[in-house]
Amino acid sequence: MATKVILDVDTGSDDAVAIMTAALSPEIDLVAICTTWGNQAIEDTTDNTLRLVDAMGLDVPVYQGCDTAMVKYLTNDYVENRPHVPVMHNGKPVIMHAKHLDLPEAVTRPQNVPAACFYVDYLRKATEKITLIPVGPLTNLGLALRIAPDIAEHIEQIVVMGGGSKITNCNPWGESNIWHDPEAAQIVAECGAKVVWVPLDATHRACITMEDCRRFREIGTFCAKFAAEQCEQRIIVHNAQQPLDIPDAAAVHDALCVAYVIDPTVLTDLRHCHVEIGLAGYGEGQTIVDQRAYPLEKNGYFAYDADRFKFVDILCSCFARDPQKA
Amino acid sequence: MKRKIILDVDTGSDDAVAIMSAVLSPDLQLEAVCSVAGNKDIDKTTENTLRVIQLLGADVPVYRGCREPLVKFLCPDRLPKRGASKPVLKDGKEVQMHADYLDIPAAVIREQAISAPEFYVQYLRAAKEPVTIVAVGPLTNVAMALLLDNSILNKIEEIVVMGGGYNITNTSPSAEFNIWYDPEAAQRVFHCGAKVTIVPLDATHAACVTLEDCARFRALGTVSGNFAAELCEQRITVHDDSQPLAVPHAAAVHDAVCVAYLIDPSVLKDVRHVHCDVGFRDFCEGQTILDPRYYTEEKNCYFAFDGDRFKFVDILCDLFARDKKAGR
Repeated sequence: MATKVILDVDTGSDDAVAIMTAALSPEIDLVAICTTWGNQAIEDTTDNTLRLVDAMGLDVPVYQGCDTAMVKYLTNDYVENRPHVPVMHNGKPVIMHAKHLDLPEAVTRPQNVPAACFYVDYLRKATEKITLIPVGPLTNLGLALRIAPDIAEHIEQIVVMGGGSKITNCNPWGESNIWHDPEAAQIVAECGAKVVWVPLDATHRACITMEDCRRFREIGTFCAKFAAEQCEQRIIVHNAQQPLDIPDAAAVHDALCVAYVIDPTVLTDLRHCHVEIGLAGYGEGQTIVDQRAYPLEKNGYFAYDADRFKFVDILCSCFARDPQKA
Repeated sequence: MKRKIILDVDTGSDDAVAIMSAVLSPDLQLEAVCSVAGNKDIDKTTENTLRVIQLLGADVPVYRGCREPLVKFLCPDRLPKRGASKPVLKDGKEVQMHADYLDIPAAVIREQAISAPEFYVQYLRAAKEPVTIVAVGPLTNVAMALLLDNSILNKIEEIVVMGGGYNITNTSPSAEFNIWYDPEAAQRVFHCGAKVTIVPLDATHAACVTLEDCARFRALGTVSGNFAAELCEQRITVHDDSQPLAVPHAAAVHDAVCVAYLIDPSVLKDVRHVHCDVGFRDFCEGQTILDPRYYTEEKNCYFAFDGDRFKFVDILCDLFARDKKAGR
């Protein structure tokens, strides 16, 4: 039976690949998509999500989420994030996350209930446990768990894209999703449900190369082509700003979380450990993994490595199921 | 026309007086009461709130609110430290500022199915006219609602907050309890953009209720008059022992001052338009920090420095006299 999944996205180039993978996988029953601020403002991440839902012709409700962090911006002492800097490529600026996905404007509207309220209502009524895949800042879930801590009992697992032990991306110690709302991440970390952290350590290993993009294009479906475009754009930026071990490759973080729900062996070094989040000042948004011989209580699973070949195979098999030709 | 209000309470002895005042006022239409954790845990504050509503036979829905602050308890160093405060004894019995359970019949009525933050969003989105929120506990529910949907601001006429203190504090050298319990929530509410009126300890200690006032409540011969007298007397016993006021044998009944202010704004005196921030950490955690400089940061709150105790008690007497239920 397909696993019931709720995605929580800040679409976003890699979010788009995650949505397509989840929507096309026979192993996943995508019951809803929640949006959150993060890569862009909430209006834009919601619009981008709806654009993709419309382009794919999906019948999946979209719930608009929070427009800011739970508490971070209440003070002026948080450490500034560095803005996305475009890379010039063939005379044109290329950015990791364009403001608008290159798709027709959305016709579908979001549901009339805030994402956090949807979580509370849906999970309380759920007759089976639900898998959550939040791949943006964790604000919606932080709120939902504060409003109704009991919903943790209705969660199968929370597969979070976020954090990094040896790799970071927005400042010396922080990965963007966690840095954007550290308090919400800490609420999720200690909520009591099974939490699987898919950090940069894993997503940089499961990278997508230019070769892989060619494979996507050969599939000939709409989703395969659109994924190839997103990944190529990411490779250009990675090459210029954060080259990976493998040349001409990009991390496509969010999609790895979906792939893990389809096939858990795509994460190859998943350790049961104590994870907590740095909350203020330097160290803000750091995912701290307790490495000591006698660590604090283990509250999550942290992925240190991933299988990029398996990852690409999973993506290819999903994109091949898209009935829409490119 | 009656002014529509929503009460947000952590009942609580003075919360009970506030609820009764709001229910009985002909000037106010109490649309709902939301509970929140604060004086006691959320189960107790919700049960106590239901007890008061039931005692008056009021037809007002109650919504259960948040169990803990937005983020404060995520940090072990911010957890409340249980001081070994010595119990206050009267006639050989321990008297508390807030008993675990109010000494009135257990609630038979139940709270609504949805939570307080969800209620705020649903209610305010659908509201045809603006509503005043009277929040007399920690501001967790209100901050949560603003995070869920900031557009509800359009439907909020005013937010009246019991909390904070400039020259007076009660929980730490710098902080009053409601603000101290959820500083981040308070900061979000103070800066949300709605009209915010803060009723701090400076005002509530001035608008105190004396033992003589309690005798007046009791003489009214109503259920609410009697119950308010009991609660205020209990508070006076504790105040006399641990925090004596300028007026002898008197107690602050903080939360009810907020309701009285909506009935007659002149019950608050020396209300100043100020810039108010909330301290988050260490020694200033939960402090209401007012900008005293000539060129202040942008003014975001009205802060009451004084209250009129005679007017306050007259308002309460007038309300309790309207109660149709005869006292025990």
